[in-house]
Amino acid sequence: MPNFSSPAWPIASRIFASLVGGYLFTWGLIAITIAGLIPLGVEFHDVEMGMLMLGLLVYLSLFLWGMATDKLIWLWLILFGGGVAMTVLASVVQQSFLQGI
Amino acid sequence: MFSSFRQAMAWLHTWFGLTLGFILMVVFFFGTLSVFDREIDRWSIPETRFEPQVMPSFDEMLLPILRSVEPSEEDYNTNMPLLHDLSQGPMTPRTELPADEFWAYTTHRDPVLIMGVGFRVPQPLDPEGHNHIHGNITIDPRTGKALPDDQLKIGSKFFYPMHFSLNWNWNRIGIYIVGIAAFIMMAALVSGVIIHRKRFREFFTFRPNKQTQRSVLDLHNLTGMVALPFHFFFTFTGLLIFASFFFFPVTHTQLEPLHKYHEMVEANETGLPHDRAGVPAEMASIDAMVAKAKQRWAEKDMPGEVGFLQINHLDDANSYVSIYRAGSDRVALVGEGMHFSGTTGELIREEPPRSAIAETEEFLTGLHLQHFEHWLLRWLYVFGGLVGAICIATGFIFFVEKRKRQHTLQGSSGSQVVDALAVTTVTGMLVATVSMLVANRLLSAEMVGKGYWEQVVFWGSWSVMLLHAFWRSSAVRHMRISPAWREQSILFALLAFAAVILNWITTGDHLLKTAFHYWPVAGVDLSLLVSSAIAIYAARFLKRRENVAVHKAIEFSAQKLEASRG
Repeated sequence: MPNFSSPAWPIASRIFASLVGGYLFTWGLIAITIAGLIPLGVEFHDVEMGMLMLGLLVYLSLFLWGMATDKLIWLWLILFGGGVAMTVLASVVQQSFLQGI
Repeated sequence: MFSSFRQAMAWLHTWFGLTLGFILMVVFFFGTLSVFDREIDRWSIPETRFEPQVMPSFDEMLLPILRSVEPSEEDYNTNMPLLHDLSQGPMTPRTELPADEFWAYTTHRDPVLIMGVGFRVPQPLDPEGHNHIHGNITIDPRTGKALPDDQLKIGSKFFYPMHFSLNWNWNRIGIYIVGIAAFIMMAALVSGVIIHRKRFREFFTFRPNKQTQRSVLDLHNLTGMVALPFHFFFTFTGLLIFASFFFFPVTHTQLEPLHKYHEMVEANETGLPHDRAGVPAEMASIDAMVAKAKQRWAEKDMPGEVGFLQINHLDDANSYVSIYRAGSDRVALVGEGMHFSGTTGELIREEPPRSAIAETEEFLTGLHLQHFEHWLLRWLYVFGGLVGAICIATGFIFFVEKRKRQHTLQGSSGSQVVDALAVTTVTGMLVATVSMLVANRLLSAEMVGKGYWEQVVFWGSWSVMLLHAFWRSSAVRHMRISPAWREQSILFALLAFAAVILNWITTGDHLLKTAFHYWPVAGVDLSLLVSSAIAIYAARFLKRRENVAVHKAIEFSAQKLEASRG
């Protein structure tokens, strides 16, 4: 059983949420933007490259925010919740677009 | 947990910087050497010391050579079992695989010509996949003679991949480790600015004569700040180059179906066939296509030579030839690609003007990959890279100087370990690098597996430096400076000097000769000599500092003794 009252626990939780959660959120954001913009006729590699450039900066900002914020619960909810939601939505949008053509 | 945003940033800067800084040191140093990777290749393979050539006749010289290339045994053994569908029959033997793709690549700094063949897997498991087994060859473009593949191109095949993969290729783990380190570098740059934002003046202060801790911090801030745009830019673009395949492979995994769909749409739009027709066909003259491409570039007011040429779907009715311009006269990696039908030689497609995003991306990655011919800018890159290395190294030293007194009192060995690792990644890495060059000159060119032994020398000497650094690190525990810094500096200076002398003895190329006739080798020799001189100066400086530190350590012990007596 991990010792949750140890001082190492909040910092480990924070690092994990910022690094992994931030990554997941960024992944979701990139995926949903690409999946959402392709059906609107935007060029594939333009969206991809644009989102990779933006994604790196978003990930950096999320990581810095995660390392500093007081609201650890919100950190977990937004990064993991938002990340999973956007990722799932991206797959749904992709599927419905490819089925429709 | 943290009382302020600034405190959180300081924590992040210290601890992430410390743990990943050792990787970053390797990345910055070998990235710096990569600016002159081809020159280091020339130094290490004397048979290739001649001037760069334009791409020779494809039909007469390159095609017959490419037709004789065989699939690499290593690639076949690793990838054939993964790509082949066993349910359709046994694997096609290695030497019977049909060629599907030919390519040739040359740059303005590379006298040798690199070429390769992509062999088709006839019964693939995934018909949609990229089913190729490769075979590469390097030739002397003046004669068409193959150059021994066994010799390691130390610059472009060892130092260069070192800076993005640590040459640790198992499951591409090196690339991911460097990726995480690079991400942390960006975070360290931003947090570093935030920590000191209230005292902006600090960024531009350097007090070399103050105590070590103070002057090291000054130098850390100064080097971090002066080259901040450079550091941020290189880290960012480095990540961007690998992002779509490794760090955020969204379109190669989750959105792969969308990507495939786009490729089909694109193939329809461009008229470039996505697949083979399965109908054998004769190839038209490639030289005639090259001449046409050059003519079109000249008409567009950008005359140039061929940098990259690729034949797709070889010997098939659907074959086409893509010809790209050598882009050494501009920053952005633009190829102005021309695509010809392989069977008729007709121009099928000329790449249209690029979108703003594509242009931005090509400019950014082009700035990082620096294929351009601009010597002042190249040297600025070297300077920027070394400034980055200084920034990281001073970060370690500041960490040690700030804590060693406290660690000594607490009986902790933290500072000692960090100091030993810093020695290993600063002077130890330099010793490993020049040891490899010395080994390159001492081992015979005919030796079987020479490249392998050069790598053994590199990793072996680095490991010895690690052991030496730990062995000598007890000085830190006694509030002194580890003598390993000085001793490894001296060793580096001797080896660097020896490399220059050995180059002269084994090839007859000394500086007075190469400085007038062959700058790639003269540049490497001169850099080695200058580095050697700097290392001697550093060793003497360290000796003085060590003496001062000994006096301080004695005072400290006396104080401690008095305190314990009460």
